[in-house]
Amino acid sequence: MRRLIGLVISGLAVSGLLTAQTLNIQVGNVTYQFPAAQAGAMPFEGGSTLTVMNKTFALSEISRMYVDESAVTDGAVAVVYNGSSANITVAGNIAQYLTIAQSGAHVSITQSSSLADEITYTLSGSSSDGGFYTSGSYKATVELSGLTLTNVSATYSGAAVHVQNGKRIKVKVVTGTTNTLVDATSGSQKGCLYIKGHAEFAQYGTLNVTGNVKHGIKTGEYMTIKNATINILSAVGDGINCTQYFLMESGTINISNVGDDGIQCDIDDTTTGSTGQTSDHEDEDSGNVYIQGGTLTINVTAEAAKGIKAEGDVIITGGMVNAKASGGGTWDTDDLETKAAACISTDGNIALSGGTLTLSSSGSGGKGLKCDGALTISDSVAVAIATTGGLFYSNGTTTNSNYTGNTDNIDNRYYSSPKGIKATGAISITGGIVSVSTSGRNGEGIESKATMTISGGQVVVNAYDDALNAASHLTISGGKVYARATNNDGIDANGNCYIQGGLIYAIAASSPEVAIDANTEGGYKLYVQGGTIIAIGGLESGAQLSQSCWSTGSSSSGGGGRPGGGGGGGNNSSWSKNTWYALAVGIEVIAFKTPSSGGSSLVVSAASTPTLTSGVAVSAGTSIFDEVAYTGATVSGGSAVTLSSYSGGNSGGGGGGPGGW
Amino acid sequence: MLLIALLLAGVLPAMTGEYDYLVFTNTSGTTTALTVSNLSATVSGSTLAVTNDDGTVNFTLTELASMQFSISDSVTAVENVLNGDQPVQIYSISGTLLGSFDNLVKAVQQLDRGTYVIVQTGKSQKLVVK
Repeated sequence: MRRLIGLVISGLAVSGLLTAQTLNIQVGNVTYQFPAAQAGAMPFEGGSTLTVMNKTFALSEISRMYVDESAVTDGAVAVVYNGSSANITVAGNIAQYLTIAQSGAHVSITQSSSLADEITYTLSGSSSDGGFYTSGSYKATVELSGLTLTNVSATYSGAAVHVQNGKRIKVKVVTGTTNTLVDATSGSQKGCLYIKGHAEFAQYGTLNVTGNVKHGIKTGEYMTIKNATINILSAVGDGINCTQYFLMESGTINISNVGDDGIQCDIDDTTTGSTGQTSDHEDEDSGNVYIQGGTLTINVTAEAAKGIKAEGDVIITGGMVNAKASGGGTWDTDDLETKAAACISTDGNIALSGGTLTLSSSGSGGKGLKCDGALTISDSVAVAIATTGGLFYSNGTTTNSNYTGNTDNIDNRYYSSPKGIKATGAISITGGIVSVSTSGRNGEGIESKATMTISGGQVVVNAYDDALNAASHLTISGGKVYARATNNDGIDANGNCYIQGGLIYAIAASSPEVAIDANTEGGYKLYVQGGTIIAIGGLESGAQLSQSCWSTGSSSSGGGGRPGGGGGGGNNSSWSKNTWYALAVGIEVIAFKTPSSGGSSLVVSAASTPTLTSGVAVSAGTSIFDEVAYTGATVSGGSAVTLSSYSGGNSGGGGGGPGGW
Repeated sequence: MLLIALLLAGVLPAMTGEYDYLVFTNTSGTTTALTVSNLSATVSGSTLAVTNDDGTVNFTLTELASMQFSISDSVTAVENVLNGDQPVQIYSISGTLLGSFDNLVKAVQQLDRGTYVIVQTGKSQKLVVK
């Protein structure tokens, strides 16, 4: 018991129960608070000054001094806005380090370079013409605690809140409060909320931001958000603009009515260049955007605007991302090429492994995902992309947002095609669920300018142009792939195409397009080595079929052309439109519904000889491909379809058709 | 139970720091102690007018050397004893050292009712044991 008492009494003493009086010194609207226990001797000098805790006051400037029992928190500065004025309270321990200026409700606080303690600025109240500006060389915390601030006169800065400290700035959007910031319509501020250093947003409050000159929120270094709700109501430039990296752990961000991108993150040091991702983001200057949780909703409408634009990578491991980009294409007078909008665009890589992405791009040439590097999709991520814009054409003088001409002989700088996913680097899909649709001319579903590899997950593509296209080799070794093109090939490799495993349902437009294509004309080949394949529109001629294939028509030894097409020989098989079929491979039954249009031949392939039944009724199974197919299906009725050995691809070489690259 | 008894007996509240006075010292060394209850002060010309519950006292600014909070009506340089785990010395109000203790708790256990001054690492604090 004695020990218990000792601990309790000791704890009380240490925790500050030894309360005392506070000396308040008012200078204008600023009140400096000196706890009696800290004040010590307060010397007067020559009848003109009073010094308290090394803060010297001219006696003539003191409006009043009084003693009360106010609790004082070391390092605290409170600014309470009230119409055309603001009251400021300063803790005594930091008074000596601050120079405060005030004009109406515009407050400027300059920290001394000798300050070695963190200051917490708590901002609250309301003003229709006010602002908060602070500068210094030490980290700080800004608490937004029920602040409604509109800057009109741009006295110290045009920003509503401007933190010039180039250090770590915690921005606490205080739980339970709503804060609204509007910057001046004049001025040179980079953001309505501007932080020169790195900003860490926290707590559960709400922050509404309107950027009248440039960005909504601008940070000179990295920005992180946890828990807070940030609404960018409008901005002339980007909704959020930062450098180094952007990290969203949780919380909610809504961005709309912006003149440029939703979120843009650049590399800060353009001389040194990217550090890449570092351990715990220490000293990171990657230009990366990380989404780990929370809900991010972005709606951008400007020409060529991006929902998320990163100079580095975009790495999404969780959370919900809803992005709409409705802006059309434009001619870039600097790069002398067309630019188009995208929901997410990076100069680096895109890696998606968790969370849910719903992306919609409706502008001419618009894209869902676009990266200059590699794109990987894995694990549990769910991605749904829809592009509805047309083909954008511009040569700098003539512009057409719905170009219908042939682009085969046009310099690619002059047009932008609407695509679901476009990666300059390799695309790798090992997991997750990917759903892509495109409806505009030249609208490929998923395109890699290098290789494409699918080894897992579920990929569903309904595209105007090629559903899957790789400029180099394309390999499918696992997963479930539905690839339908209404005006080109289902799956198209401009190098070799390897089908090694997985479940593949590919649908091409009518001849000369094929369900699965390789660049035979370029000396490459389609290799069917495994997997379960349903190919409406047949296979590229010259294919090497290590695994047996069958068609619904008569057997063919193939010719130089595409099977079922007019390019020279091949099958003349048929299938019924909008009809459920059942493909039985051993005990596994896959039910699939045929489309309303497509290439004339139906080719199937599996590890063992399959059977095919037409016109079945499906009563059970696991829905895949947006309910166009079922695995483990239970079917009834229908009529058996005669399958003939298909060797159309074995003759090698030759063949017509554009191949779609 | 002993803890509750201590609380009821007012030992803990008695340990709170109460700076009941603001003591003004003029350039000749003379002090004037004013209670801080409702104390406010304003500067008017060459005069500092200090008002509290007892009335108003005017000081000539050029004659003021300093002011300081105090727990008594004289400047004794008392300050908070902030660390309850550190050794303390206990003095009577008259300034007689009554003993040294390992910490504040042990000191309180040994003291009779009364008013004392605690000294710890050069700082002092009034202590009332009821």
